[in-house]
Amino acid sequence: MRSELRTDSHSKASAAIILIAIIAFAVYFCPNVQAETSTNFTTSDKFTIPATNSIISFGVNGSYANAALQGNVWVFTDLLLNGSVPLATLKISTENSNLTIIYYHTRIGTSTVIPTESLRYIIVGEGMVTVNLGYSNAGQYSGSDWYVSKEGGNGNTRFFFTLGRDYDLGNDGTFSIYKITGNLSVTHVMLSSFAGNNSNLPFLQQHSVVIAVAIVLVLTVTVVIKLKNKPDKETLKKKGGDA
Amino acid sequence: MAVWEISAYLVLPLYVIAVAVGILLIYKLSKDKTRRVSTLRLFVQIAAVFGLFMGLILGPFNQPLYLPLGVAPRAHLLAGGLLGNQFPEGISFPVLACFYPDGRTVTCPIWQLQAYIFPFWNYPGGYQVFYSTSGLEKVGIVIGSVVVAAIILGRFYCGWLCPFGLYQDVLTRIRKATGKRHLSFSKKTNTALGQSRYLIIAVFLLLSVIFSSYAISGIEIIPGTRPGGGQGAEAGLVGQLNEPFCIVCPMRPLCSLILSVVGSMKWSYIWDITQESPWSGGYVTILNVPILIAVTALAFIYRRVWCRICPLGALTALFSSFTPFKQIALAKLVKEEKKCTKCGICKRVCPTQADDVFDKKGGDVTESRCILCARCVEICPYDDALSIKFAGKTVMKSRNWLEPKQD
Repeated sequence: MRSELRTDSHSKASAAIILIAIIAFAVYFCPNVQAETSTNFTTSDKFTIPATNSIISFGVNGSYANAALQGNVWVFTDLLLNGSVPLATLKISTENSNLTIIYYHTRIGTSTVIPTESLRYIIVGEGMVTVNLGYSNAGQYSGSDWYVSKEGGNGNTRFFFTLGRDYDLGNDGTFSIYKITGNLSVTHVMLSSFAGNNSNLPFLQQHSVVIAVAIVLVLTVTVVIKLKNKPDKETLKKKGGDA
Repeated sequence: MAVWEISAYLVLPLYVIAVAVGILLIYKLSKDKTRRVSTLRLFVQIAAVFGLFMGLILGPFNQPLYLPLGVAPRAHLLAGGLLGNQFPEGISFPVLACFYPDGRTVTCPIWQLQAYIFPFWNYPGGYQVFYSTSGLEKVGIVIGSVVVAAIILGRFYCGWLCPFGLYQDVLTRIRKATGKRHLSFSKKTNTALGQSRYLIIAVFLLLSVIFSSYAISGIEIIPGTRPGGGQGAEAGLVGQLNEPFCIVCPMRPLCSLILSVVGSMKWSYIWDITQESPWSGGYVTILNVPILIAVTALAFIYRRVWCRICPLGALTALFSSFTPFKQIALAKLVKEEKKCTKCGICKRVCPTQADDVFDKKGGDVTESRCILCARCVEICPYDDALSIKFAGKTVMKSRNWLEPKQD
């Protein structure tokens, strides 16, 4: 009887574990549920900008909720490239060139994860590229957070471009890259927003480390001076002997 | 709490017990009185390497040993847990142990000074490290920490705790084992080398500022050095300009090696960082390795050759061997002039050729080149002629080892 009960409870436990494992697997590997209304695209789809004589395409398959040409800018809402996460809105435009997006990734920050957004593309032609990666907001970025770079010939070397000369940033986080061709990478690491703003904390908490170091320094010097002024035993003995 | 966590918490007590037992055993069992302190020092140096690189010193020591291998130690930022985003890089500790020591609980002050002077670090991040303190405040914390450390123990750190000092001492021991004699610099050269340390540290700090001129004033003194890099400038070089000394520091390659042996760094990580193009932001640059090779060759011939020009040693010496710090420094090498026979053995055994112990007449003979290794005290054959004092108390003194004790 006991062994039957044990077997029964064992099988129930096994079933529960398997169920939990399946749920965990599903939750872990399928975190992004795509919108039902999304449109799939392939690498052969072309998004032309007739006014600027340009074509935008993708190097990998993916989907979007909506794609619209607004002025000379293609706006891809809820863009999701295979292998990238999560959904975001990309606004991109180019002039006199063919641009192939090969990677688009945005990561919303948490208390421990830095929010980032990044785009890689190959561009042929010498037009200006204007792009908004979707996550940036006005005032939420600093120039030092952006990295525009180009892969060198041997795969090891990466050339970094200079803000104000090779590319510019607009107030809304839209930036323009001037006449750089090749395999480009644009990364926005939102350190400014992540760095932790403790300016609203009381003064002591804001500067506790420097205050602690200053206190330790003062204490050390004070204790040392006290110790130095304290006559050692040998001197005392000598004085005692002299007396 | 998982079993491994409990075991990890035992690491520090076990480490402390092992070090204490080791010191006692060496003290009791060492029969050669002219080598006892040197053996003890070697043991302490090795223990310090473990302490530093396993994050045991000043850190939440439960972390490194059981972390999944493969995570770069710098990613842990243990000091961030202690000091928050005011100073996540770790406490400044005057030994040449790079900012790689596990979790950055302790960090090389030279690296910190260069990095914090460079305004890039006034931006919110760099190398994915986040501060809420200003550059000036960070420099203040580093200087304050080094001053405290130097006042308490002077250049004891160089003699007893620095991993690069250990490396040079091991080379010296290897040379001795081969039966080769060391060479010495002339007094003039040695003095010049000693003085050059201050110039070296000044030059590298100045370079940090020059390279950051664009960020300071908007004028790019050296083309291609503005943060973010100029077109055509390779990222690594520009990315590392905020730490010009580290690009040439001979300890860097050794740091990654040590971390793979006693720390939590995976060997493949070394492979990754050394496989990068030397100028492309790799940890070990094209200059580190040749300089390490050169220093290794020289250290094989000249004892503690790097310590004579080490900018970190200069910084520690600055705050312990010069007025007003010299007056309040706690650790001192003291000579009793009446008991000295001018035999000169102290001068001959000094690994940094610090001559004051011989030349100066009695009293405090600690000088900026003295690393308080106590080799002179150990070898001096005259009772009480030389001693190491801490806060006026004698910690160690010379003994007549030539004649057996009559008691």
